[in-house]
Amino acid sequence: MNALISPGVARWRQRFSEDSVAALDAALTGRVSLGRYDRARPAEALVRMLSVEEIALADPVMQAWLEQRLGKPLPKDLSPKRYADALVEAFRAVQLLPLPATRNWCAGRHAELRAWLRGFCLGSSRDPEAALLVVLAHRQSNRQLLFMWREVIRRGRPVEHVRLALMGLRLMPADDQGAVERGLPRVLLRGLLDYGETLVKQGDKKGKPWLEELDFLAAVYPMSKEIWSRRFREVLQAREVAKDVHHWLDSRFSTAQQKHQKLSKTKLTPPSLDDTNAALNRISVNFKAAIPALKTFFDHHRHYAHESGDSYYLVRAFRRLGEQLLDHDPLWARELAHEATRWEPSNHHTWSLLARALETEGDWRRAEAVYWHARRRFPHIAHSHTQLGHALLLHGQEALGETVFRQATRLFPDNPVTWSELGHCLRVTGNYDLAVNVYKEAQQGSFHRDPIIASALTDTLLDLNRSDDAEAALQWAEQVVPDDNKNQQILAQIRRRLELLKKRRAIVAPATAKA
Amino acid sequence: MGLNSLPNLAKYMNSRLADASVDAEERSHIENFIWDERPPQSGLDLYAQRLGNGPVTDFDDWQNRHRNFTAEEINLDAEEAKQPWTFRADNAINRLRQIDPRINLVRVEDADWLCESTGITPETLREQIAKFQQGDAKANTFLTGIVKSWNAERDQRPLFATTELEITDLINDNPSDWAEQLRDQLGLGHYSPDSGRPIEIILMRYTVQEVLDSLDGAGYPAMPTVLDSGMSPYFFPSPVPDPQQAANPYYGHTVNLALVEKQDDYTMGVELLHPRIAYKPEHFFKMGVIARPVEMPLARARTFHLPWLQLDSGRDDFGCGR
Repeated sequence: MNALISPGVARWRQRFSEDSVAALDAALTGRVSLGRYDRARPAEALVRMLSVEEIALADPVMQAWLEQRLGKPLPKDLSPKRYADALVEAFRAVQLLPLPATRNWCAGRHAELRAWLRGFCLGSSRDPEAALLVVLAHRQSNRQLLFMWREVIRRGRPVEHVRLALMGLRLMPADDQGAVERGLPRVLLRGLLDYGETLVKQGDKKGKPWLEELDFLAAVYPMSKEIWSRRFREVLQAREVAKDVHHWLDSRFSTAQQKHQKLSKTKLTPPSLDDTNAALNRISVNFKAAIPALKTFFDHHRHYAHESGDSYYLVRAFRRLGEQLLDHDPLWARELAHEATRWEPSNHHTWSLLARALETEGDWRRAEAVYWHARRRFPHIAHSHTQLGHALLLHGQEALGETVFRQATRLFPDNPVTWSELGHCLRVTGNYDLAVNVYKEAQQGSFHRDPIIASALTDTLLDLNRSDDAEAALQWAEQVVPDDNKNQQILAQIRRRLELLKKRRAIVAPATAKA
Repeated sequence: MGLNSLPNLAKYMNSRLADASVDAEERSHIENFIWDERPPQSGLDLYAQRLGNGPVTDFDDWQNRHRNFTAEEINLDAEEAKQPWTFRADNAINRLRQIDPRINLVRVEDADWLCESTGITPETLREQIAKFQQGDAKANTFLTGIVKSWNAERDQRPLFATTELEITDLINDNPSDWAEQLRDQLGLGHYSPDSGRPIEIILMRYTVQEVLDSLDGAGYPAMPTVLDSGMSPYFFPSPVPDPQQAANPYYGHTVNLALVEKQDDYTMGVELLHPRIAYKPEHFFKMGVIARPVEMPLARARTFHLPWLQLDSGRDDFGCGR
C-alpha cells in the first residue's frame, strides 16, 4: 500500500490517539479538517482512514460519545442542522465501520434513543432516527426488536421509517438463537399487512406506497406468485385484515381459497441430499460430462425454492457444489454463490464462496471488496476475519493481513484458528520470533493441547534453527497431535527436519571447535 | 477572489502563507480561495455572514465556519423551499446555459451506505443492474425500490459530474483498475482507501436534459467554485476565460491524480455541478471497486495543473497572485 500521508488525516489521527472522544466529536460535528477526506461525509472519512486497530478503539469511544449526549438538548455551539448531521454521521459510522458494541448498546436503549433523536429531525436527509433504524436492522442476533419494528410500521409515518422497519423484519433471524431465516419470513408478511391496515386507518384508499413495498419485496425474494399467495394465505388464516388491504393484495397475489386447493394437488418434493452427493461425485469423476446433469440438478433446486419459498436445499446444495466447481468453473461457482446469497443474505458461508469464486476468476478487486464486506457483515464470525487476512496475505498486503489477524485474536481469543493463522502469517513473512511468541501465547492461554499450534510452533523453532527448543516442542506435539495418517505425516516431516538440523549442527560444531 | 468582504479570513490566509511550515492541503485551500474569481459579490457577502466576525484562529476553525455555510446554504434538505446557493439567481453568472441537453453526464456515488440502508449488498446491486440492462422486469422493480429509498434521503446539495465523452475510452477499454483511473482523472481524492478497505462505487449516467428538467427546465449546470461544497484540497478553481482565446468555457477542470512524473504527461479532467435529480433505475450505469489509494502528491498535481489551466483558458495571469 503506497498511501500518501495526508497532513490533515495525520493530525486527526494523532489527536485520536491522544484524546479519542474529542477527536471523534470534532470529526462528527465537522469542527476539524480531515485532510484529503474533507469533502467526504465524516462517516465515510472514518471508514477510509481508520486502521483496524483504531476501529476497535472507536467502538467504546462512539458509545461514550452517544452516552454523553443521550437525552440532552441541542448543544449551544452547533446549529440544529449541523447537530442533526453529526448524529446521522454517528450512526452511519456505527454501521459502516462497524462498531458492534455501540450497535448493541443502541439496541438495548432503542426506545430512549428514538424518542430523543426525534427532536433533531430536519427532513428525511437529516433524520438521525432513520440512521439509527438502519443500524438496528442489521446484525440482529435475536428477535428482541420485533415489537419495535411492528410499532414503527403501525405508526405508518414517515414512510422511510416504515421501509426501514420492514427491512428490520427482513433481516431479523428466525429465532432467538440467531438462526438464519430460510426464505420469506412470515413476520415480514405480518408487518406488510400491519402497514396496509395503518394506511387504511389513515384514509388511504389506493394503497400506492403499500403496493410499491410489496412489489419491491417480491423482487427481493425470487419466489413464484403462487408461493407468495400461499404464504399470505397462511398468515391471513390467523388474522383479519381490512377489505381494502385484501383488495390491494389480490391485485398482486390471489389469496382466494379455490386456487389454494388447486395448487395443493401438485405436491412438491424437497430435493434429496443424496442427489447432492451424487452430483459431487459426478464432478470429481468427469466434470465436462457432468455439466448437463448438473444443470438439471440446479434447476430442480431452483424450482423447489421458487415454488416452496424454502431456501434450505438450494443454499446448501449450491454452496457445496459451488465449492467443488471453484476448481473447474469459477464463473459458474460465482453465479451459484450469487443466487445463494440472494436467498440467504445472512448466511456467511455463501459470502465466503462468492469471494473465493471472484478470487479464483481473477477479479481480485471485487473479491477483496466482498471479503471486507463479509467481515463487516459478519463481525461475530471468526472465519470472516481469518479469511480476509489470508486473502490479503496471499495478495501481497502482508501488513494489513497481519493487522486483521491480530484483531481476530483479540475479538476471538478462544478460537485457536485465529492464533494459528496469525502465527502462520508472521511465519510466512519471515517474522519467526514473533510467530513463536504468538504460538507460545496461544499455548499459555487456552490452547495448551491444540495440535495445530503445537506442530506449527515446532516448525517455526526449526525455522530459527533452535534445535533444543524444537525438540522440546516436538515432544509436546507428539503427545497432543491425533493419531491419524495426516497428522502423523506432518509430525514425521517435522521429525525429519529436526534430524537434519541436528546433523548439520553436528558437522558444524567440530569444525567450529577446530577453527 | 476579492477578499475585502472577508477581512478575518484574509488576515488568517496572509499569516498562514507567510509561514513556511504550512502544509500542502492548507495551502491548497488558501490558494483556491485567493484564486477563485468566480463567486459573485453577493455570494461572498453571504459567505461572510456564515463565517462570522471573529478572527479565524486556525485551519480547523475555518473548516468549521465553512461548514456553517454549506449546512445552511448548500446541503439543503429536499423539503426546503430554497435552492442551494449554486443555483440561485445570485450565481447566474456561473451557470452553463449553452450546454447541449443531449450530453450524457456521469457521476460517481459511494455504494456503501446505499446498500446498508436498503438491506442489500453491493454484489446483489451489481447483479441486478446487469439484469436490468438485459431487460429483466423484476430487476427494474428491484432497482425502483432501491432508488425510491435512496432518493428519499438524498439532500439537494449540488452534484459533481463529468461528461460521458470525457471518460468513454476508459469505460470502453475497461481495464481492471478503471475505477481507480476514473477516481484519479476526476480528482476525487477523498475516494482513497487508506485503511486498506476497498471502496465500492456506482456510476450514475443521465442526460443534461434530465438535469434541466429537475428545476422545470431551468436546472442549468454550474461551474464549480470554492463556495459550492465542502472544502477539498483536490479542488482547483477555473478562471473566467479570455473570451478571445478560451477553447472550452463550459466546464470546470479537475486536478488529475494519476501518478505522473512529468508535466507533459499530465492531463486535466472535466467537471461541472448540477442540481439534484431523482435517480431512476436506468441511471445505474456501472459498478466498480477502488482498492488503490491516491499516489500522486497533491503539490505536484497542482503544480502540473496550473499551467495547463492557464493555457486552456488563455489566462497566463491566473493563479499568479497571492
